[in-house]
Amino acid sequence: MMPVGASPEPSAYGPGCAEARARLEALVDGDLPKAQAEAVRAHLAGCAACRAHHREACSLPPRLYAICPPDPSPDLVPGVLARVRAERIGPFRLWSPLVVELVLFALVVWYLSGPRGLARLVQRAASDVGALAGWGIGLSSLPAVPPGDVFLLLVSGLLVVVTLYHLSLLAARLGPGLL
Amino acid sequence: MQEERTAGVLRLHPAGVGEPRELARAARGGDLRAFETLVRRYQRRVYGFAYQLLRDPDEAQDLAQEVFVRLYRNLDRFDTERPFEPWFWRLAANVAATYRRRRPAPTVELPRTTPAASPEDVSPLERALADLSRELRLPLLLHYYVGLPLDQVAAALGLGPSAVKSRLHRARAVLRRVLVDEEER
Repeated sequence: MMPVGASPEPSAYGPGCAEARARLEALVDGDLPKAQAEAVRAHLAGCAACRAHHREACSLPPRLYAICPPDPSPDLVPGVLARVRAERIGPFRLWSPLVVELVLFALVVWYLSGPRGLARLVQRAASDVGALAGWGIGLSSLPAVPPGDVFLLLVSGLLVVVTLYHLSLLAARLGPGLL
Repeated sequence: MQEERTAGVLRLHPAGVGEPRELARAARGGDLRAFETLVRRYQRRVYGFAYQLLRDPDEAQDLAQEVFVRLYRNLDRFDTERPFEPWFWRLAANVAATYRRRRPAPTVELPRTTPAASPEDVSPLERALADLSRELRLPLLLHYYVGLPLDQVAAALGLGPSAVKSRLHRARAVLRRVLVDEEER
């Protein structure tokens, strides 16, 4: 669509109309020198078509002031604040949990010592469950918890917590659509 | 309603200041509540400005959000010895001028108007305004809709006051011709 700014002046006007109409806005704002203002007024006195333009020119500023757009959505302010809060997360805070995660992960890997260690852990867990079941039905006494399993449980729990925290930081910083 | 909410935030704000310049100074120092107060204070005008420019509520929301985020990023550049509004609207005008639509422009919908104005009176005006070239629409909105004086519009757009006045006259002349044409039909 052609911008209105490019639309031509209506052709139905007589001598002096083009000049008078080109000065109407300046006349309304009181920006014309006195002689030019008088000339435009003299033309208006004898030209009904230009008087219609003048009436419209006079009414435009108050009508422009009166334009009332819709209210913004209530999500605008929370949306801005969420983006700003995310921008406040600096690179150090964003990436430092990665170091903790790597240390914890290395600790878990070291403790399990590969697939053989993992198999041993499963065996031990099964034996613990069996002992607990025996205690439950009254066949044996309550088994002692191996300290190594508690250590592994604590490290794994910590790794999960740190990872969730890190993911929340990344989601806030890089946008919710990322995750 | 909006003013009540803003007043509530102002009362809650520890600094108890209402001047945009003071709020900007506090926000620059890391006070997020001062920034929130600033956003609440300007959200209606910024959104309205964006809406008049883009004629699409979702795009306007997006642009308004972008204006405030850019405000936050640029608070360090604000000279607290100078008035806030011209600086802010200059930033808003820059963001608006470089804003890229995410969706194609919609057809013009029926506008909301003030109760005093009849829809027959205002609709053609808003339609004409929507079709105005951006070069003419931006100063018109900053002056008449946002309410900035000419010198502040000039500062916001990086133009001289006479250039702004000339664009305002041209814009109003275009609108006037369209409206007279509509009346004659």
